[in-house]
Amino acid sequence: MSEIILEARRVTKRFGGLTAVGKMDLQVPRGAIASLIGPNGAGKTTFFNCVTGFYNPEEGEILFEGRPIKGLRPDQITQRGITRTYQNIRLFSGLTTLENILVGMHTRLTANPVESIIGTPRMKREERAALEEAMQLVEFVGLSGMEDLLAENLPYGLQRRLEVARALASRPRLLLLDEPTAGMNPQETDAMMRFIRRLRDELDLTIFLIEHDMRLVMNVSDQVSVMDYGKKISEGTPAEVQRDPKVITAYLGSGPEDEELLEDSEVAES
Amino acid sequence: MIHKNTIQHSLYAAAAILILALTGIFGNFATRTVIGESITSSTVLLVLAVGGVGYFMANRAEGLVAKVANGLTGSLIVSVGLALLMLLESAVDLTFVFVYLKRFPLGEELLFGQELIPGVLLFLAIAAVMGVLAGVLSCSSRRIQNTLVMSAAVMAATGLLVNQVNSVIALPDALAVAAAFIMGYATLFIRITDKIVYRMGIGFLAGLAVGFALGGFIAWGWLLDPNDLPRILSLAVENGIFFLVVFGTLGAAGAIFAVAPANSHNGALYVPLVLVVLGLTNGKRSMTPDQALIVFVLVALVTWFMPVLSRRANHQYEQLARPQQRGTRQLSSIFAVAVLLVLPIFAGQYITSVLDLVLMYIIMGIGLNVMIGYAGLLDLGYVAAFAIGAYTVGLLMSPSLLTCGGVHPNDINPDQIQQVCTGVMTFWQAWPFAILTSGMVGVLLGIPVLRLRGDYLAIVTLGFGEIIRLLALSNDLKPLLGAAQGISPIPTPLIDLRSIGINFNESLGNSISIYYLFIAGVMLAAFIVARLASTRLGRAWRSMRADEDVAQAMGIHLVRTKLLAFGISSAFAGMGGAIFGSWLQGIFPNSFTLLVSINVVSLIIIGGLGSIPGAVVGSLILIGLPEVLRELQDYRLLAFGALLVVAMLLKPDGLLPPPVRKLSEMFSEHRTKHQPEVSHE
Repeated sequence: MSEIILEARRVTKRFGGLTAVGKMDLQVPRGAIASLIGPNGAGKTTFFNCVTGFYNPEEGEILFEGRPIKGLRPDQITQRGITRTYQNIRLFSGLTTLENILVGMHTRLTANPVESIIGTPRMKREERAALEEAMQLVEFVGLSGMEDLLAENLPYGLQRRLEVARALASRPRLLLLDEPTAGMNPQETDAMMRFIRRLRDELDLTIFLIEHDMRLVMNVSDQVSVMDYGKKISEGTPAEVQRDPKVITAYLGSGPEDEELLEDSEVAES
Repeated sequence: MIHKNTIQHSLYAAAAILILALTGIFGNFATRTVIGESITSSTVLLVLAVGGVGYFMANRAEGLVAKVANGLTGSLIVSVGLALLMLLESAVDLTFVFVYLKRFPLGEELLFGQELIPGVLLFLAIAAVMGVLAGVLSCSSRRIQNTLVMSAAVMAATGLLVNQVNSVIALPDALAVAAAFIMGYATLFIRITDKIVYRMGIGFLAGLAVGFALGGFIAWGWLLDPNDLPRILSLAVENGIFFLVVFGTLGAAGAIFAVAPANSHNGALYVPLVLVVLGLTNGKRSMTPDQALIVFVLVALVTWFMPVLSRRANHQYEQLARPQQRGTRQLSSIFAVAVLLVLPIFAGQYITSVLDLVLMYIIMGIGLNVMIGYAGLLDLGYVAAFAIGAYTVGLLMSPSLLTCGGVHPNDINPDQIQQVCTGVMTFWQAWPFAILTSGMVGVLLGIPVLRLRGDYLAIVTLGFGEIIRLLALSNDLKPLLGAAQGISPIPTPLIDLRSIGINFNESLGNSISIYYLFIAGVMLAAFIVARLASTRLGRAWRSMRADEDVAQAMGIHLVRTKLLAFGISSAFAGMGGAIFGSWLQGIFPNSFTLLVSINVVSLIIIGGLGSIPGAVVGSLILIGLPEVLRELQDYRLLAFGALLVVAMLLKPDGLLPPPVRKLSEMFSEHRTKHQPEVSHE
């Protein structure tokens, strides 16, 4: 379990004068559920975007399974084995549930256009196998019976699941989830929590997630990293992070009044 | 009782109609007769204006009295407007502004030959009657409304077009064909088996029975004169095989369409109807009142019973086992193709040349759908690829700098051209080159605009289209491309099978023979694009259209996927352009204006983005309809524009948007095919 699957070394991403992510160091062990938390605007999603190739960080190095991935295009990074979901759901509208998942399989399919036009037996076999696997994924994430619905017509909670299924379709080894429970009620969050555990246990995945729901983070995570103003301010097991005064300050702010408000005596001690 | 908007909206409508009236539209249209001598396009327009407004107003109200009141109000407002205009016209000279009123005074048409005051009163009375009728019509059931409106529309359209379609098919032929088809259709009452093959067989026999019966009539000289038979019947009498094919196939087709899905069933049933209507008007210069009545009754009958028949056919289709359903679908498309293949033989040169143009735009529509409909790249310079295809064929098929080893053909002694210009190709050699060149240029044009999206891409591609046209026009390239004179003559495609031992040598020199080349092109394009759209690349395109960034994050290579869209799309334009060039036997830069691009973009939007049948329908409407509307003379573009606005208001997604792909059904179908269910005892 100690093998490191994702490692960030002093990753820095600036937008003009603003340093969104500054000298970020981070390690995610293989097979873990790691969380990245922090107040709004702390740079969590920017960091995700650096890992998945949407942004090219100015400085630093990102290693996936020991190989540098900084500067690669998003599609190349997906090919290496990292996929993600999005904070605001970004499914392909106009495509059905199954088609969304089939797009997720794109990197694993090999048929070229000429084969598609001729309709070679190999290509047909491949398409059939892909369809079969997509049906299994639909069942796995609990979307049975909605295979042929347009993605935009699914209920909100199921759209999240479809996004996960689409990400799983590329058979990643590392799955990044950007606020998987955003906009969900407590019951739905509980279901998502169980679902995330199932993903790791049944599919042998490493999961790295951004989340605001502390109950979920503290319940599922093996490791929690905390960001504020583009920097990592704390890291450790959920219990350790919960006790870290820097984390509390970041979330609740500092100042005499605030400290008085806090009943936690450890803040006062620091 | 009067709906709150009735008066306001009637006034708007009246204003529009008055403006049209001031342009002399009523008088202008009166020169075209529709039925007999007295009913002209002008009458049709008047009924549409006064009755139509009344109908729309009546539709908003509930209950007979309210509907009649609203309809009456609408019709009266429009007619009072026209009446006032006539009074004004008689009192004041309007012709100094509205010059067309000099040639076509309004009163001449709308007063029904009466003096001013009695004429106006008569006009108002007629309008009032129309308003009341519109109210009553609006009160009747939807089925009655559909039937009446459809019949009236077909009757008017037939009357209007009779001059152009009066040599398609003779009445005995049309009746024979329709009878064989209907007899085959009627075999749906014989319920021995559900197997499509047997159904077809029974239909075949039914069709033959009709054929033999007709043969008997002819032999006895009953009904028809054996020495003066129209085309199909005389061939059938002389040639046994032809007889079997025509009557048997028609019967079989009838049997198949009787259990086809609703859409193809309805389409198929209208075919014999149209044939009979065309037969009725065959050889006539205008439609007589009794013919009009027959057409009206025929169309009304078919339209009235269509919903029942169509529901029945669809029900029967759904009862069939899956393989039988597939068989039905395939057979109905085969019959549809067969109809397409024999169409130009009957349609004649003029209609076929319009169809050729329609087919060419279908090829381009299918091609551009790859770009806009699937990949979501708005390309307004599609004409560039079309022009490149045409010019490539032109350059390779005639003596040019390319084919004469770099020497200008004008510098060569005409006697030696054959020896020097050894590079001249036949159409079949040049065609693949044209397709390849267009595709490659498409890719090259795609490279600089890879990062552009939406409007920016549209503007840049628009520029490409113009650049290609200006290059073709430019004097610098004159030695190669011929500047404004273009390239001509270009030989027509030649099918010469003598070299492989078959005595067949045919030049595709007229619109009928080139029609088959276009049909082949359309089928090839539709086949390729349908295959691509339903597999890996098509999914990549469609996901790119939905969200480019996420598509890339899902592992799609954006550059490759986009360039493939550019290349494939342009290749189809080149294919169309190549046939176009050799069809016209000459290429001129003026054919490659922005209008071509706009037409193609519009037709796929009207038809439905990403839909191949949509491209067909869009092309028929956008390219075919203006030809038909030539009858409306100067008002052609007005009518055309109004139709487009109405179409987009009623169907914003296009007329035939692509269906949602039911992949799970295909999956289970595949399952059942390969793992047959074990029957439980």
